[in-house]
Amino acid sequence: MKLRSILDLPCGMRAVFSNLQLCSSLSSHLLLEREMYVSSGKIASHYNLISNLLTDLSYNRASLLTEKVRGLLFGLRDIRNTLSAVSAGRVPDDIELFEIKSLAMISQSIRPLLKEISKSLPELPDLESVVKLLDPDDIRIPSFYIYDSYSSELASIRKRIKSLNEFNEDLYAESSIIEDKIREQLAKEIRIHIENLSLSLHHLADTDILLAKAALFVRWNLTIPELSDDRIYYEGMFNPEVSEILERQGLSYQPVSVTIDSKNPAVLMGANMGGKSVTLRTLALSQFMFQFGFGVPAKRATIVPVHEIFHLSGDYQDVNKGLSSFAAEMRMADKLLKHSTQSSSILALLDEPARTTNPYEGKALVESLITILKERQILTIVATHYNVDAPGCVKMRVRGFEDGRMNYELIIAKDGEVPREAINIAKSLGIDDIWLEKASELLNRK
Amino acid sequence: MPFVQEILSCRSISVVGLGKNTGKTECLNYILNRLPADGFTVAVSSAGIDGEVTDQVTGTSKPEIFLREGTLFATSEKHYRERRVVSELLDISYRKTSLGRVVTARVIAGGKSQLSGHPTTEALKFWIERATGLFKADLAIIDGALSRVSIASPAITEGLVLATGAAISASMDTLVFKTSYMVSLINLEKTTIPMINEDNLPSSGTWLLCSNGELKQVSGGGAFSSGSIHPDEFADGIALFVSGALTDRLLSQVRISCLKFGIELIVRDFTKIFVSHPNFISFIKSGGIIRVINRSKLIALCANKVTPEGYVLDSHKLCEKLSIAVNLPVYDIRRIRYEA
Repeated sequence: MKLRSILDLPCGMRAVFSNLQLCSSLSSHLLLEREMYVSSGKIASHYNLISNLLTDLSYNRASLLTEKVRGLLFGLRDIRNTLSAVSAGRVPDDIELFEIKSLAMISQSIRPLLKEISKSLPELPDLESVVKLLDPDDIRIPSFYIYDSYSSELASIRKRIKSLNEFNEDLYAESSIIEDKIREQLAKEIRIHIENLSLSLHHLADTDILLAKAALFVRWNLTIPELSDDRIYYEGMFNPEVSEILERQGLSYQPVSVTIDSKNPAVLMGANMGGKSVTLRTLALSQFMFQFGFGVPAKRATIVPVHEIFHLSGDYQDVNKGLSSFAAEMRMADKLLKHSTQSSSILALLDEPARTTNPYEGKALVESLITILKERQILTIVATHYNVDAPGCVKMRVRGFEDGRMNYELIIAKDGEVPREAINIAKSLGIDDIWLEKASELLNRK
Repeated sequence: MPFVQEILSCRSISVVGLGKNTGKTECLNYILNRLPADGFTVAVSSAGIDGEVTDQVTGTSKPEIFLREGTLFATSEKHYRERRVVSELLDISYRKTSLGRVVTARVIAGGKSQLSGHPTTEALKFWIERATGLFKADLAIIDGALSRVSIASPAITEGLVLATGAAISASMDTLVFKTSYMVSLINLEKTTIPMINEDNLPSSGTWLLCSNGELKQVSGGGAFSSGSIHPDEFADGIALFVSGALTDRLLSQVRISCLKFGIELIVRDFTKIFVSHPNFISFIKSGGIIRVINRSKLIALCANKVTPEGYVLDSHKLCEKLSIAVNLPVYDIRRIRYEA
């Protein structure tokens, strides 16, 4: 699964991506094409790298050097096409030679800096010979033309061109022929270094990505989680996007702690506006962030890497396909069930499944779904308003209203307890009294 | 050269034509040829496609731009590849145009190239900053495209050279009439009313300048919704500041409902005026005053006696008539080329 494909899912990965301060558009292209990590080994080694990098960056001098590197990275251009064309035998024109030269020069300037900042940053290949080739006069500025020093014949023709007052077609044509020969020769010599150039291009983009990730770690207070095989646990999990919005309004996000066990599906109950959806979205976001190597928004976390993440966010009504919200949701759940027969490496985050149908059937649908997912040992968390009674699941609920304020903390719910806070919450919203009193009356009669 | 001293006093100038085939490119070549050669760096770019061998629209032959040694120029990737000049590539823009990115280069040995350029006026402004700052050019010259006058805005270039010619109209009277109208817009005087925050005026809308110096937005004062300007709002005002385009409709509204309050109409600069000639005249005749915040410096008026179809006007007579109408010296580039 590529990062690009999950960017616009409701969990909000786009916010993570757009908060990354990448210097070069090449880096963002490459990052979006990255596949999600699924093997524990790869994830562990990536976080090992980031952890070392974060330590190295915390030293005083590092920030100064990092800023220097970032400044240089702004000049990095995507010349993958040029490099592959040159390696396939095409002779580059002046524009392409200029771009190759500037890549080589940027790489040479950044190379010693990366060594000094951290061993966790990529080691760039030495491109000094490319720089020398394209800067024969050793001027060390990233401009380019077919310099006089490449050929004495060219130099003398140019001298004649300059001495004339009028534009001379013949002389210009003569000089162009020599220039073309020189370009061919340059291409031959560049071809020897093409692998190193390409390596350097990718390493520079990697550097950009790693530095941006490290900066986000610090800015958002992200954590490197521990790995587990069967249990997901977050302590003090927060949604970075929502908490930034709240902070701007002078409010603060209340972090929550949550556990998902592959043997015991979690059922999340509780009041409307209790943050259930946000919790599920944050769980989806955290899982993606974790598996793309961004770290997670929590104080502490233990996470199971999975192959697939199913987040049923509840907004699936698709008029274009002519599906009602119920049909769309059923299809999604069906897909989840089909996939779960093949692999148990799935995280299922279901936000009020079957909410759009009658409570009697809805409850049955949810209970049976949970039971099947439990049998298949799928990591599951379900948010619902139905009083589901599936054996072996862990019921949690949002603590709810306390002294007129919402407490978003998740606690283990007692068995048989049906959260009844809809009317209280409606009251706090200032909804019509006559209506709510009537509803309370009806409830009491039952 | 007649007007070289005026050009040298500017950091950036634009060469704009009143229409197509008015001799802009010839005018540009003329200027490029006569600027001092030693220790003076010129940067040239264009606001569109220019410098083609044949005109992209009418198919008539056009002069190429000759670039001499040391000149900085910006052109699109496509035209850089087609250049016939030895040049050192200095910079490539990140923004793409329909002809590729914009390349900035320095001429090593004189030759010819097509100039094509920056997609937006903002990009052009940025390029001028860069050319005169980072690359240390003494003067930036922007070649206008088609009849794009917006680049002549004093917000972009300090001075302008206006090219007019028989291509506008083969009737000398119509030509003189149209040209003198444009010149009168260019020469609109700078307002004497002090504006608070002159560098940071609102970027859109119509605003009433009150006697205490405050700006009050006029409801319904947009260029296209100006039907609803309410005369009552003007009781306290001394001037009306139009931030965007001044359209015929807005101008008529002001003439009908606000002139009686003795209000001055202020626009940013002449490029924001999109008003027909009769409407402009009737506004002025009714006692209206139009002023600008940034006045343009019209360096010279050049006239081209030839139309693309080959019709030729009498050069002497044309220059004389124009000169009387606009009260400025008028040059026929082709003629003075031999006299210079």
